[in-house]
Amino acid sequence: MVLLVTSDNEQFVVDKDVAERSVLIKNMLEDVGESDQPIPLPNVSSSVLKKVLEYCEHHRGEPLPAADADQNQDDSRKRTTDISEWDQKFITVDQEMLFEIILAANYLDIKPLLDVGCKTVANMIKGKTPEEIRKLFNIVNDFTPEEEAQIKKENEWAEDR
Amino acid sequence: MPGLTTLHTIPSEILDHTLIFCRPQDVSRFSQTCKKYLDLVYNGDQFLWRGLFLSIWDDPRRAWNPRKMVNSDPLKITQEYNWKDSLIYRFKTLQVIHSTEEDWSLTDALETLLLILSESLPYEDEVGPSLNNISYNIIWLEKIIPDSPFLTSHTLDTSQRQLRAQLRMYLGLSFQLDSHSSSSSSPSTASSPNPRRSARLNSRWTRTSIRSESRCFVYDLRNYVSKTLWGPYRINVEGQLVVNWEHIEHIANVIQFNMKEINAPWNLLCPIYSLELTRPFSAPRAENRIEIDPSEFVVDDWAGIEGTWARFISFMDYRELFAFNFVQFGSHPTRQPSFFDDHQIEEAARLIEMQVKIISDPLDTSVPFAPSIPSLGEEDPNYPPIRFKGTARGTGGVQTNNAEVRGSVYRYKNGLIRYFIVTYYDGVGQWRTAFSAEGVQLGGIQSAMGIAGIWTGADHDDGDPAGPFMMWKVSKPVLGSSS
Repeated sequence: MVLLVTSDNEQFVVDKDVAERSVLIKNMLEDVGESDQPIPLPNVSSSVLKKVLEYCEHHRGEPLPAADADQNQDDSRKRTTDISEWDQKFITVDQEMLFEIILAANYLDIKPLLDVGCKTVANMIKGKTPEEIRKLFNIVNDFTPEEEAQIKKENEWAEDR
Repeated sequence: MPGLTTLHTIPSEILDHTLIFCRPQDVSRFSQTCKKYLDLVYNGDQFLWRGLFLSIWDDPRRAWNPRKMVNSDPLKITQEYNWKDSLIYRFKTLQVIHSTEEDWSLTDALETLLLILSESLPYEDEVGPSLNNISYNIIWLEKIIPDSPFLTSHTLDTSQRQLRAQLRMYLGLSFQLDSHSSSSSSPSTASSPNPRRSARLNSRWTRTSIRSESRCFVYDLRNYVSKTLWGPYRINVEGQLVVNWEHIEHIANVIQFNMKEINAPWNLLCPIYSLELTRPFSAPRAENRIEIDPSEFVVDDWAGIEGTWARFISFMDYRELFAFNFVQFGSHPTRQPSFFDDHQIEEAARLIEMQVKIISDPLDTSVPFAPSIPSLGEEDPNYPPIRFKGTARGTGGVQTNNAEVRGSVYRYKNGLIRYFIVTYYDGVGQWRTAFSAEGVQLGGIQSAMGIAGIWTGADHDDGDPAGPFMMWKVSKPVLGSSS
């Protein structure tokens, strides 16, 4: 069992194989060796960790992605925006929680969870106009009308004529 | 909890990682939302663009590359590929070919399509079929080309027509179109690989019989003269001898129609035209590789010559060929497509199995070199000419006697791979004892699509016949049980 301590000082006791979905924790445990020392996670709040652990619990026992998989992006041809049914249900959260999960997955180094989060954001962007994307993510349009027209023109390559 | 977590709090490398899951269109729109994201998308590193590029196309760094001189500049090889500019250029190409307006950049666009085709992932690498054997380039091209107005446009200039002929032939488009529009007399049940596609095209295609038009071109003996080496070549505006791809397209049309009509077991060996067959090294490897005497000097078989080839030749009855070229029927002028429609002309067609091996003895003078004047280009010293000889066995019809085959293969610096083949019949030939042929490699090096060209009498006498042929590599002998 592993003891995790969140930024808001909550303690979570979890199975080692669940905690080790996080490459960060896995490496820490390997460095420290067998020990009852709590592992502090100062960048993760309890509400987010709870959610992240739910994911790790569900996917425990699945093979971890190879350590250098990310470096080998050149061959990432199987890149797909498909998300499994369970993951989709899991990631159906409000925007703030979605971004919190993404940040936590990045910090804890849980590549598959990071991908689920990023794909979800990508799917939200898909097919929308710039104005719709602004609305969705509260982005402030800081272009002058002239700039906006110019940028639109420069982006014509991507539009169906 | 410090503040609210929003998209703005997401570090740029994670945003890059997110945008890679988007389509380029979405990334472009995302970049237009504010200055920060415009900068992120267009002024970030190539990671994002490389990811977007590779989600659509094959990695150009894994494309087949011709051998370089040993002392060539290594800097050129390691030069960083510009993923962003290439992606944007390809998207612009897509817009140009789908535009119905007359566009001056259509030539560039068509050249880009052929470049993308030539950069498709080789079917095999040195060790065998590569694991990741799908070519994204092929999938992309097959999706975008059949919808394009240029395929049937009547306003193309000569160079555009040459480029179009290549694309149309590689896709087997004109062939599919015609078999769809004119109900063929053959009882063939072979269905078009993509009926939906040909139906769509068909509605725009105004000419009625591509077959007659292609026959008319291929059997027009005026096309076979010394200045074009009696081959499928033409002289361009700069006065250089180059491949005439429209001629090649006509050859492919004639051969494919004839192949379709013949019900023979080896019909199964005929390639069904698709871009897939143009991939480098897609030709079958010889299982029955001819034994090479280990004491012989081994010649590098860069063209994949050795082994068994299926060669399909077509010809007209000589009286009909003569009538078509030289005799006027009533008010009919000569050499009109209507000749074929009105007279129900049927050509003869033969499948010939060729077994060839490389000649490694440089002193063996029995194999003729191809004429080098006029020149088709500068020979590539990294691909020394290969000379080969072997046997040809005919099937079907009268000519079943064996013949001797000799030939040579060349690669030019402009990428052209040229075949020169002479066939000797031992005194039993219909017209002459020797025929010579000029052919060019279709698609990439060692492609499954094979070679297309023209055969004529080897002596090129006045009134010699001529006709089209295609040949492709097969993994095992064609005949045997059927002969």
